[in-house]
Amino acid sequence: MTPTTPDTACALTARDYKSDLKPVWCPGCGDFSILMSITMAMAQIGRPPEEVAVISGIGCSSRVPAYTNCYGFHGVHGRALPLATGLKLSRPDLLVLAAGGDGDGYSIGGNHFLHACRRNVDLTYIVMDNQVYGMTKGQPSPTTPPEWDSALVPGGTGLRPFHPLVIALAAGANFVARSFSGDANGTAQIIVDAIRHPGFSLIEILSPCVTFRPEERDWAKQVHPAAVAETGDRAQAARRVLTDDGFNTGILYRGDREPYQPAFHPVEVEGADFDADFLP
Amino acid sequence: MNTASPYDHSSVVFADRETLLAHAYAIELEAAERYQALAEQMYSCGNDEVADLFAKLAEIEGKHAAELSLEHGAASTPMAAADYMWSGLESPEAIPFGDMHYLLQPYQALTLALAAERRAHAFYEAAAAQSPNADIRTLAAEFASEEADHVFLVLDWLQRYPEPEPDWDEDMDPPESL
Repeated sequence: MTPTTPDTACALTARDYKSDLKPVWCPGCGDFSILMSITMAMAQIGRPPEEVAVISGIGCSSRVPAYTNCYGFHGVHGRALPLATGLKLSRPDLLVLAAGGDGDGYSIGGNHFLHACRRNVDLTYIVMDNQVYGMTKGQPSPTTPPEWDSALVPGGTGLRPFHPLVIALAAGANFVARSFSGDANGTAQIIVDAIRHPGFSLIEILSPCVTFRPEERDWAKQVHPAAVAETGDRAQAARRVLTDDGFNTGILYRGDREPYQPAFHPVEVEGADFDADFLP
Repeated sequence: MNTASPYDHSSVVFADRETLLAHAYAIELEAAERYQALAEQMYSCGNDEVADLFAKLAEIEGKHAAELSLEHGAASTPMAAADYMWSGLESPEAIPFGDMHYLLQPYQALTLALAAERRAHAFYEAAAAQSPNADIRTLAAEFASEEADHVFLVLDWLQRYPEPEPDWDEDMDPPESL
């Protein structure tokens, strides 16, 4: 076997992308594995941390920029994608990742999600979907099953869950995948593939919330690789994800849309110009 | 705890010594890093007894990784994630993050460590039985023997701790009430 080498000659390891801050997620949380997958993927891509930006909104999973030593922006709730889009358009040289959870991305940031798929800017969006608002103590999120019963939603919401993968396909995302947090190596490889694929890539990662959805620990037994190979046919991919059991993992769609990247004209701005806006 | 992660060692076959050593090094290093991460998780939620235990295991596994480099010349530069042929979702000696619980007791922590050592043992046994080259088989058998020693050590260690009560995870002041 010939080992695959990183994209650059300077071999970086996953440790090179971790910050000194220790995650404060609950023990058992899937986000620990996903953080590891992100750093493993970065090492394989081989771009140095100062050429990578990790952008997030609000929520447990949105703490992820602080746990990497890449550039990062822990933004406003639901606004990871507009921030990431703006950054990528103004700094196309950077590798831009957006990350967050299902509530942040599909509810508060739902409209941004649609238009990020439509614009197809070359960035990768990692959604750590635990089907609950964990940080705010367990309210149902857009992906929570209708029958999920808890003290906060006795009898369940009765509402049809949001289907992010189908919506991403319909809105124009150029790469769509589903993964499971417990498969750190498989997730890392999908992140690498998503980054290398031009345009907007969505990776939906099933990430158990062991505190508010302890039954999600069973996802480890339910996930399975997709039985069919990835497709470049958007309609076929949509049909597949509409009819699967929600636990198919792997790359589900890889399209060929041109990414949106308008001609870049850097504007020289003096620091004093910024000061003029803020200082009396 | 979910300890039912599937591990199938039937395709563990090594064609060359370098790749076997790369896997062996990764097994020890990932185990060490995982134990360290688990120790930090437990410290952060005030479970110092289990945290100390994981920190000790991290130290032991780190020494194993260093020994592999010194004694066998294992390269410390990792291969790409896709180049490892693990028989489960991760390297066999890394305890899955998903098996953690903030109220975990030492007995359970060591039970998880025991399962990890057994997985590593089974991995090397499969490599020893299935690899075509005699030298590779010998080296894999040596590693399997070392892992078998670790299994006995953990079993011995396990006897020092009582088995948890059935309601071990009942928290009268659960985090969701904060």
